[in-house]
Amino acid sequence: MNKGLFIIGVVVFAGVFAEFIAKDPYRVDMSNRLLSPSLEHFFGTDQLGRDLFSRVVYGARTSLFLAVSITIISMIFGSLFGAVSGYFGGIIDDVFGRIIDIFLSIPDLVLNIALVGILSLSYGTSPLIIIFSIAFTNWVSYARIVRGSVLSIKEHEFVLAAKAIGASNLYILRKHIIPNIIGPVIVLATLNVGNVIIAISSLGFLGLGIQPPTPEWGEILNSGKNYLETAPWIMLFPGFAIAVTVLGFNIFGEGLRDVLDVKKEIIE
Amino acid sequence: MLEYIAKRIVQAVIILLGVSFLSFSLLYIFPGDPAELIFLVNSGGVPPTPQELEELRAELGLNKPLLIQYGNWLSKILKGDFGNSWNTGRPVIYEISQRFRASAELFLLSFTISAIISFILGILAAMNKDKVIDHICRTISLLGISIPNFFFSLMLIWIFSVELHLFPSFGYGKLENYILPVTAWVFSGISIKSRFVRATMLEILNQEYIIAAKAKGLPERVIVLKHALRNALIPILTYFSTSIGHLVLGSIMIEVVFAWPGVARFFIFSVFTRDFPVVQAFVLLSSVAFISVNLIVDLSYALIDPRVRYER
Amino acid sequence: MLKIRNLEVKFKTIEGVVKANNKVSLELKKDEILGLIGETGCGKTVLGMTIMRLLPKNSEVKGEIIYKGKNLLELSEKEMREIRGKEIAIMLQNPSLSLNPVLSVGEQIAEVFLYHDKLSKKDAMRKASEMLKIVGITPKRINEYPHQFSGGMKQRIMIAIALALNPKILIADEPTKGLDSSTKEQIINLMKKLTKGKSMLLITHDLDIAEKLCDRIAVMYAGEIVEILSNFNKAKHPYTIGLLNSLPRRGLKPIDGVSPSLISPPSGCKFHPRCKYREEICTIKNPELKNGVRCFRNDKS
Repeated sequence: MNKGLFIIGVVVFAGVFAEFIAKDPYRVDMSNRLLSPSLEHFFGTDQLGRDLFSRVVYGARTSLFLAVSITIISMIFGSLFGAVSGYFGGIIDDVFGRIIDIFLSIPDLVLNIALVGILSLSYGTSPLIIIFSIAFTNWVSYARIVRGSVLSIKEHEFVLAAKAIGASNLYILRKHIIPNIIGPVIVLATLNVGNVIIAISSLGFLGLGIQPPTPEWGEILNSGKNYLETAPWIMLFPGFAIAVTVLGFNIFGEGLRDVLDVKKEIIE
Repeated sequence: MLEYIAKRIVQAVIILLGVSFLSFSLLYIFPGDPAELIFLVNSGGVPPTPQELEELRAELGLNKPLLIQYGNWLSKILKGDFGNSWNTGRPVIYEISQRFRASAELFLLSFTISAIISFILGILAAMNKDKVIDHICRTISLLGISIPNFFFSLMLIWIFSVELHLFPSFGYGKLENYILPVTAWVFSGISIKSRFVRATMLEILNQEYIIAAKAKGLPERVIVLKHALRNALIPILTYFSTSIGHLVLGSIMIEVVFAWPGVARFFIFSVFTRDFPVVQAFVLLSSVAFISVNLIVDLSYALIDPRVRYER
Repeated sequence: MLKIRNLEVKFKTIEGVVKANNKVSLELKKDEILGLIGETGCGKTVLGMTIMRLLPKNSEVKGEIIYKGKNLLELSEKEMREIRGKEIAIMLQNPSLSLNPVLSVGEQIAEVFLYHDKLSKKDAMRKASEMLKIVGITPKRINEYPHQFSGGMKQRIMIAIALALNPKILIADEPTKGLDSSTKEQIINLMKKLTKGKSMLLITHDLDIAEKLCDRIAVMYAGEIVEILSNFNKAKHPYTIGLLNSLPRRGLKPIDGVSPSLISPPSGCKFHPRCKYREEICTIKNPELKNGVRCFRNDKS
């Protein structure tokens, strides 16, 4: 788990302090294109002579910014949705449950791509569009987990006891239910960030993500696929960046889940 | 049992309606006039005159209330009429069916291989918890879900195609064309599935009836293969069927990277060329496929799980 | 039949080492029904599982369990498998959880014939039908599934499975838990009838059942045997007397205090915190089991 945290730390550090670690990722230098990795250019240069290392480092910032935004939006919306559905039950749960099912039936990436494709007609591929399109399908995982948690806690005696003494729904939600769902939600969020980053870079790879010259890992990979023979590093380094970052979040998330499982006590 | 079957079918129909409505409303999600946008796309950027706009609206029936439009659209869909591709002018259903075979081949081949491997791997890992094979299985899983499939595909191409000149990096038809795409697919396919198989088996192996079986002095082979597996099949089958949905995702990236002449690549192409009817059809059809598979699996539950089959 | 000598069973857990069985010595004689009674968590189920070598991986076992001249704790897994079900059989607590929900009850009885006696599938199923009849279930139901049976019937199926191969020793863990009183009666009578000529270790917390069925009764507390008697009227250990007094028909007087922790048990005699006869020596030294009682008070006589 700590190894995961370390990796995340490195990536976040790179994203936040990009200015101090790397050079200008936008600086085009056609006389130095497609250079292989060296001390001057750690990851080499791309087809426009830009320093690849810098682009990958700044790319961390792009990916993290988008991923965190998407995760927060999905988490808040999804959790509320799931909590309301699970807590009030009855017709609300039936309807909300169907809505969740409907979203689950459409493959995530398909809808993301379709949304970006359609929305970019009017708005271009701005970060907002990407955030919206991915969050549009991403919230469902949170809704499901929260709904499940709430359903199981609802039946515990201390909730029934609280109701018996006339506690308001809001109070019960705040004091009893929320402390118990925070754990699973946090675990889900850490594991989810990895998937979101892959979704962001998939869109970027397809050309539907953040457009160049803004550095984005998927997009860099995409441009790199034309230079496999002459400059494979353009493809390799952003790819490793994605893989390592996602790996970091996954390792951390799983470690977190193991820790929380062991200590799983219902907070009364 | 019949009650269960009826319930599931009704649920599936409701979800299908919901999905169809969502696909239908894709046209309306962007603010602004859908008619105007359709015109713009088809005219290549030339804005319409108010008259042309009105004509288009009438032609497409965009004047009528939303529900009526939805109804019309739905009745056409049920007859298989998804409209014509804005690019080629031919019916969407035709374009899709042309490319269906290539995608289906890739999908079926990869799914079968990854299902078999992950099944075996997962069971072996569960039976040998914390030993070498378990660690191998868990590492492969972790890598499989962390490495994006398009990157893995490009790596495969770089190593085996560019550097080693072993397999072609694109093309379709010959056996060698299948090797790299299938490998890429199987790698990510194994990762999620084998985890689940392992977790399910572990959970079942902790059950009381497994200890009871051991108490009878039965050989381990019997306990795992007969007692544990039969209980594991139910959740595993369900999971495999839901993972088909994820596999469509995998299809998209892999078909693009390997320039595979399948449905998914056509979908991406259509998104870029703003060929809206195709995009809409793909969203709907991929969901329908997913829902249908789920339904079939759920119904076969009724046959496999005696608790459902013989309800008291 | 079965000699248990100085058995020590420990479990390594996150909270510490649980001493589930502490220097337990017991003898199960031929053709006798020996009861093992005690509160929940005193270690009696662990004893049963240890005999069958069905403990989880985090367990540590010392001592001897002698059966037919051999120490069961030293046998290989393969040798143990031969014994399980065939020579020594155990009925676990909770029949609802012990039966595999996706296999028919006939299959679950028949498999002991299949794998131990190497009978053909047909013969095995035939014998399974016979077993069903013996425990009082119509053999026609042989292909039905566990969830289609009531609690009492599931217990009968468990008995059928356990006695199928005619084992010499039967360990029954709470065979009447959760059953209503008339069903309890039926099960008890059935067990009495079917275990003639065998030895049985009856693990229970129900004192009435123990009294009705058992030839001798061992009382367990905090992982130790504190008394062995053949008649409750002759009870000497304060804990046993306390247990008896807590019965409804004898006054429903509970024993003071709470069950001790098996991770950090009390010093000296494990019962001393709750014993009204305790003296200073009881807090320092743990008495030995003498004349069937583990108590300094009874030592003097």
